[in-house]
Amino acid sequence: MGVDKTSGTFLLSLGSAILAIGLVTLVSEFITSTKILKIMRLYGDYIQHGILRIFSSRDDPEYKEIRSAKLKQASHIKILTLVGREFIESEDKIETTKQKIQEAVEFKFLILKPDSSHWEIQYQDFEPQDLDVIGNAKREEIKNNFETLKAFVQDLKSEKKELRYYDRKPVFQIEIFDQIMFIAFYGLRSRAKYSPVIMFEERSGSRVFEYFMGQFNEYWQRGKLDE
Amino acid sequence: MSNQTTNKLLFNNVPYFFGISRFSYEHFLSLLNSASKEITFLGLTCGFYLSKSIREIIIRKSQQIPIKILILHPQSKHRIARYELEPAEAEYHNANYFKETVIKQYRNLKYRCDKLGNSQLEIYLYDFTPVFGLEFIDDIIRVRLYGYMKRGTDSPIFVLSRGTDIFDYFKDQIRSICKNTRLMPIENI
Repeated sequence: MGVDKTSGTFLLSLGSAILAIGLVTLVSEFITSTKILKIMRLYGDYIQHGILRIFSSRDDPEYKEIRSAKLKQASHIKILTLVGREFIESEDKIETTKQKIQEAVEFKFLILKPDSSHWEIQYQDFEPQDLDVIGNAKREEIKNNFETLKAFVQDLKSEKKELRYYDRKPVFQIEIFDQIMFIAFYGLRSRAKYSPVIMFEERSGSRVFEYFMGQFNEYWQRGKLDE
Repeated sequence: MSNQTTNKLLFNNVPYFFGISRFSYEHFLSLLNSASKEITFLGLTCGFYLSKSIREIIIRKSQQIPIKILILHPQSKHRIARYELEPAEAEYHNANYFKETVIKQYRNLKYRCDKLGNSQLEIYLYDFTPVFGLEFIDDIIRVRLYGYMKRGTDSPIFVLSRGTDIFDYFKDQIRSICKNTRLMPIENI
């Protein structure tokens, strides 16, 4: 007995539907299997956290290149650092920083207060001796250079551009250039330049990005009181 | 495998947990249970490791592999500085209370392990401001940061794998702390 065309099409559709349901069930079973779920939970919001790169240190040439490019492009700049030599160490650097501040939409810059007790702790207890930095003369120079830059920024009368000191134990260096953030650590007897640098990209829902942004904001708010 | 290759394999990425969660706890327990080389904990109070289940694992493991636990000295000036940063509700703010609770329990733990005869458990007090806490178990380091106005438990816990530069950095940090800083055995307090 033959099967007519309509019945054939019906049987074919039925067969395909059963096969599709079977496949969906199989895939769903696989995805929701304990093992897969465990891995997904174990790694939390791994995909979401936005870590783009980890550089071995701040001396890594690739880091230097990428950081420099990001800084150049950025219009919203937030920096929490110990001294900020790159921005204030010499007259040339101050002039370059002034130009950058003028071009930027937002510029927030925090350094450790040179007469803070944490300065001593940081350099004497935790870092190799670095007379260039811990010498009182240099400290005074850092302060003078920072004050010069501060006066310049105050004259701009922009609410979004400000320089502050903080008077707290430095925990990490945070640099935010628009949606990109670089984090380095102030470890034991090790300067931040020897620390690995984590490069993040701002992603919606990234709690780790929010954590570090929150840290910057805490230091910034506190910096107002530490003046 | 070179670090460069491992870094590339991991896409220069690290997984993390956020704060205290069941998954982070399960991950920690599974690492601890399977530890076969070494265990080192560095923390502000290390109170977390005093739960009954973790204590029992520490006692068992102390008979098999070296375990080091590093706790901030209750009377350290850095402890006072640290609590300036921590929210007021942080536990063990009071040094005497901390001594009477956590330190006492750790001394008991050390005593219990030593009584078994082959204990490789060492518990020390350190005297510097910690900027991070970590759990170093064989080939994994879990790092949490002591951020400003944040408890360690508020920090992301980064899970670092051996063979990456960032693992080496924190491994060197903990090795340097164990080797170069003055540590006081807990028995001496």
